[in-house]
Amino acid sequence: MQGRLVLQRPGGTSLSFPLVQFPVTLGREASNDITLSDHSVSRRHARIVSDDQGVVVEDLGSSNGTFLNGNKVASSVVADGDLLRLGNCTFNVELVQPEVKRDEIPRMDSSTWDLSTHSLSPEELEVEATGISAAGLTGASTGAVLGFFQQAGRILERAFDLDELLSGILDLTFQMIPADRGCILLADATTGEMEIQASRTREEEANDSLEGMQISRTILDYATREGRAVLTSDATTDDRFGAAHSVIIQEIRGAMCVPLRGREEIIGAIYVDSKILSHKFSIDDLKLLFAVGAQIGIAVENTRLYDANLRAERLAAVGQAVAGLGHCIKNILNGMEGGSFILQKGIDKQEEPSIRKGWDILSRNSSRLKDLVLDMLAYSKPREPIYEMVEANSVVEDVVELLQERANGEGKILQFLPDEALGEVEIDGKSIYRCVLNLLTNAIDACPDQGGTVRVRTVRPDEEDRFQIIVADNGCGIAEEDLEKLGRAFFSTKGSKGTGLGLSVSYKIVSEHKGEVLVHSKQGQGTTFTVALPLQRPSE
Amino acid sequence: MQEGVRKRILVTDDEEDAREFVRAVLEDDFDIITASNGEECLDMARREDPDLIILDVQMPVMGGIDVFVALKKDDQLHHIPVIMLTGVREKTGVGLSKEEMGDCFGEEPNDYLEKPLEPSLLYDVVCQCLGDRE
Repeated sequence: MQGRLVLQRPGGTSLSFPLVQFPVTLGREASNDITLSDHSVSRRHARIVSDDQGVVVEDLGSSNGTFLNGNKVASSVVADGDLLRLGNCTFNVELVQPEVKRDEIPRMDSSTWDLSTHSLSPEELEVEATGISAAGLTGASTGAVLGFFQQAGRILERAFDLDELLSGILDLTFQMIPADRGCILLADATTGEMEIQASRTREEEANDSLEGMQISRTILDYATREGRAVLTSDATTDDRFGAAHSVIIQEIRGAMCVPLRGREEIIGAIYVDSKILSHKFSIDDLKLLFAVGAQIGIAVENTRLYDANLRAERLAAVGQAVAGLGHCIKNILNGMEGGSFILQKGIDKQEEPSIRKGWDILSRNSSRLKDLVLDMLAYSKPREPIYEMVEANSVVEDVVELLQERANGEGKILQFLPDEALGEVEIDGKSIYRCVLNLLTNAIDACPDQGGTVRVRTVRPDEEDRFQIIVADNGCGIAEEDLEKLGRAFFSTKGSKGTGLGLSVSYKIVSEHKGEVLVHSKQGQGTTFTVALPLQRPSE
Repeated sequence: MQEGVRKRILVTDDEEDAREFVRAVLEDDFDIITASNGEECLDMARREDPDLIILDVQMPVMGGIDVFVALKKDDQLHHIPVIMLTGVREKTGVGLSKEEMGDCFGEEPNDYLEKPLEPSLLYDVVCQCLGDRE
């Protein structure tokens, strides 16, 4: 770190003391590095050291004290622009190289084509929002700077999605910095290659295309390799970048690039540039961009970790689903193999009963497979109900008719008690049919073979804008610990008969209708499912 | 199999189709009795004294593994060989492998077959189990 102390002298003149080698001692004695012949200054008054915090001023037990920006200090970090006072002597502290002084930023004057590239290390750019002078920003006021950091904070707090985070930050940056184009690049996890993750240009409000932007790789490489914030006011004439291909092709007049630091390494960069001469960037623009980079580096890293976790969880869920499906399909396949074995045996022996039995088993299992596939499809995608006016009673009746034979065959009673006052309702008839089919199948399965009873009722309570379909059985009931697992995909208490999908699908269909399912169950006594559905399509 | 020494096999599976499959494979040479749940299986085992029990793992209420443990704890039923059937691959979910079951319960089933069943394999395994016993 280099800099200088500029002593303000009466009459508006100043005297400059370079800060090159630390420590620098200040005092009245001639042995000091900076001698101040002022009686208010002690013989050995203070010293300036450079350590890992930055540049620090330490009072050496002076009589009149050392003041930084008006406050008496024993030891304090000094920053660029601070006022340091020893007795009557007041210094302006300048902690970047002298040519970086704000008012010395070269004008983008085509007659001079002045070279003005600054590359600053993070230490040199230790800035907070308040350290940025709004006057130095080409596009913003102090209030805007504070607003900027508030908004950035909000984006960082909320962002779980990397794209959302990056484009939010980029949009915000564009509000503050007069760039024509900008992008955020992240290092590829395997190759380390910097790749554009979010980009935008000022002309098109939001340019999502990642390929759309060609950036100055030369400037980017320099910033990410060296870990420095780079500002170049005219890249085409810069010694380091002038000859570089990408700079010439794109005629970049001003560019800034700051590294994004993760916990251990540089994980990416923010890059902005401008092709228009009137748009020049200032050191304070660079500071602002650097501050943005410092804030989002860790956030980006966190978001990536979150994403990786989510992916792992999804994979685990997919794995579970596949295992669940595998189990269902194997059981159905077992039925089909059995059916065809019995069928074959019947054909070989010319026994009609065997043929019939084998055929029944085959076709029963083929329709189980069909049901499974339908349930899988219904479960796998979110869908809006296709509303139509239908007689709710006739939807339920269709299901009851379908299952009546099966129930009777198993010695079970299936009863339907419709509420004749119900009439037409606005539902997705096919979905509700599927939902009731699954509930009724479960109810029949839950009943003991002899003496089992399943009652289905429709009810339209007075003064309510909902109707109910109630399925009650006197079967085995649901254990308390299993109640909360109901509706979880691939959870089944039916042994090899259950897919663990039927009830999940029913729950999903009801929730798509903005209805609800209530379960009342007592083990050994039976279960009642109450499906409550709006009479009409709910308004959005 | 010789006439006159027909052995009796108790097939336990909650799915009728699966029971019928096993019956069709074995009925020509063995007497088949069936149970559709774990409790029924234990009752029938006590009543009928079968020579072999074929037991499905995934059954509601009382699963095949619970039934197996109950059989092995029961002095009267302990001697009956057991072949287990499962639609879940060994070592996943409910599927303890034959050896793992031995480790857990001190007793191994005589065999452990996966669904979908291979009829000739089932037949061979059954013959082997019953042969072992003689």
